[in-house]
Amino acid sequence: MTSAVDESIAGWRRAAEAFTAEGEEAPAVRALREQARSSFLELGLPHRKLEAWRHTSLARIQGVAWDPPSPGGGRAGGELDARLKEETAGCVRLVDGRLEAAPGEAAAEGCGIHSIAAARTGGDGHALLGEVLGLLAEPKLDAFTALNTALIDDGALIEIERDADLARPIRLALVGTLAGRLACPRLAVVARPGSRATLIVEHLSQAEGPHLEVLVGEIAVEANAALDVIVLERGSNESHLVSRLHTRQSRDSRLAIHTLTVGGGLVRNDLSAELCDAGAEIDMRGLFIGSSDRHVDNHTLVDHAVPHTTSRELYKGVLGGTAHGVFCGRVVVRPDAQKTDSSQSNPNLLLGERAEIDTQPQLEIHADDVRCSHGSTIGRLDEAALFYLRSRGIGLDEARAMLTRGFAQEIVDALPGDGLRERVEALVAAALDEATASRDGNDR
Amino acid sequence: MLEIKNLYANAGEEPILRGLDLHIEAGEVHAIMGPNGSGKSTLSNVLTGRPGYTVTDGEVLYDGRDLTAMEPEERAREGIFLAFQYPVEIPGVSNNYFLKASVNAIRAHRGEPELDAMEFISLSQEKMKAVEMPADLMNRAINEGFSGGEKKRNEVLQMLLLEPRLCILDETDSGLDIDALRVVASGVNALRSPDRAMLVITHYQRLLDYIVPDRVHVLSNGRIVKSGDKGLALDLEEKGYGWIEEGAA
Repeated sequence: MTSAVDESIAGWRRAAEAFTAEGEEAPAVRALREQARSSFLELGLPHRKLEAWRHTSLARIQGVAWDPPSPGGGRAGGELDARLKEETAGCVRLVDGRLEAAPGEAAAEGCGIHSIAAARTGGDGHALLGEVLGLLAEPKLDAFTALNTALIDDGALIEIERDADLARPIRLALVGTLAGRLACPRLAVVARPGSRATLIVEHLSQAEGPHLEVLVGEIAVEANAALDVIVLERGSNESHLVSRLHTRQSRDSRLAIHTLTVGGGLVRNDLSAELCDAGAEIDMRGLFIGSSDRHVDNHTLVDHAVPHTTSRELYKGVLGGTAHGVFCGRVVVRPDAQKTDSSQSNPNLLLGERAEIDTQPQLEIHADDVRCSHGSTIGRLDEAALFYLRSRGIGLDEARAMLTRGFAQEIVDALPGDGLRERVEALVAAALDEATASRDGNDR
Repeated sequence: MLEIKNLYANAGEEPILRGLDLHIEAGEVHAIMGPNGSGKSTLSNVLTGRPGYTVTDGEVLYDGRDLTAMEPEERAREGIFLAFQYPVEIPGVSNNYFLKASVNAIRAHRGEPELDAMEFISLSQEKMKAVEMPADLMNRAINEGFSGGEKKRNEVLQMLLLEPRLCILDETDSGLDIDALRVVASGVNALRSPDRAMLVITHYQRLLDYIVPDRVHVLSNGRIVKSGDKGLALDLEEKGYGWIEEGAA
């Protein structure tokens, strides 16, 4: 253990040791917190000798003397500036980990949104919280899950009611405003049987200086429910994000998770999906775009636990400058899980001479009557296509931008059409243009 | 309009063109015929500036300017157009978006105002009729999943939209049935005019029944070995290329 590492997270250790949540907490929550606290103290921060962190260094997180979230600190977050206010209008906002306002107002018919701070102290939604909190996210195995759980303060608890068909998406915004601050928002979602909904989780930052968001989310999709989740990560270069989403699906449910990473300094996404009943289907789609020296790491795990389940996975990476991308996709087919249908694909486009990608499919198939495919590619812009466009009078830079956008379009096209598509498309186009411009490692 | 003098060029490292001379005036249609490997495609690639093709000797003048010093997009903006033998499929970029960008890049170069979305749609609809192209191909990704005939129609559509001054058709007849060939040829013929020149590269005489050339040249081993009027194409059809190559040897 180096002292620099100790120093940067000493605040978190102290906070984990000393954290006493505001209010009289439900015994189950307190027990979970205490277990997570000892796990975090035991595990420490992950390092590159661990398989799951082989390609991702936490150096840029460890170089900062972080302030922990202020325990029970009320409205710990700063004021949002006008731009962010406008961009997150209509969202339930989690500012530096705290719910900004009573979420009830943002809830549509057929959907309840509660504050976790209230629910864990016996307030609104406490029964629901008891049902989902800690159901899927296991603190023993992972330091960031342990950290988040030890420091649970606030977050959003969402219930989509039985057979509800939400007309508008539920929108959450995670906003980091305070420099040098760790925030540990929590997300718990239950989609009741037969419901249909779209959830958008957006990560943004206005902190002037480093900010770290450690998000843990647990999402249960019950029988015959259909849920689309869009995770839109667009923090600044100094805004780091560790996101760990766990999902569990029941019979004939359908879940689509679209993870679009267009910003952030260090971004680590872990998405773990359990398919626990026949007919469950998951579609995991990712687009990660790196420019300058950004680092984006996607780890996914699909667990086909029973027969007759389906997973589709398509992650596309576009990397310019000296950006570094990682994709590690693990698919587990359990011994009984016959008739599993699984596909995984990770095509990557390297725009920068010094950009890097590590891609690693991991298939563990223990059943014999299955259909599983996987593939990953790493390539540069197609010279024949570039020439074709130029031969029609389109300049070299514009031709490059067109091809790069064309590469990403497949992911954008699959987003549910709900009026946000245009905005997402514009954000993606801007990130791609930035990656194209920094293709040689120097921003022009 | 186009003057090629003693042109030597490599494809990659390999010398392909070996002292080619060709002179084309505005208003003329020239055909270049030749067996596989004679340098037909290299000539079209050199004229359009495809990376990987290098001129090692001689010169290519377009309106008296050194063509080889220009980037591919500059050549296109100056009015050079190549109808590709194998049009490239580009997933994720719609044909409509691409063609509008292309038309506007060329209009901007000519000092003409850009077309807005509505103006472009009415222009493209008019031109699509001329090549009997189904409307939905505009909204699809460029050439993706197009049949051979649809790809070639798309090439001619681009030619009609961009109104180039020098049209180079590289084996445009390959992969076309007789109906598609007729449609493509009538699109090309519609562009014939006194201020426009065409260079039709083909392996077979068939296309020249529809696009009747003023001059026919035979390319062999990187050089023009024989030139004549349209009757030369018929002789070649009858006697094969061996007859010319023996004579040239």
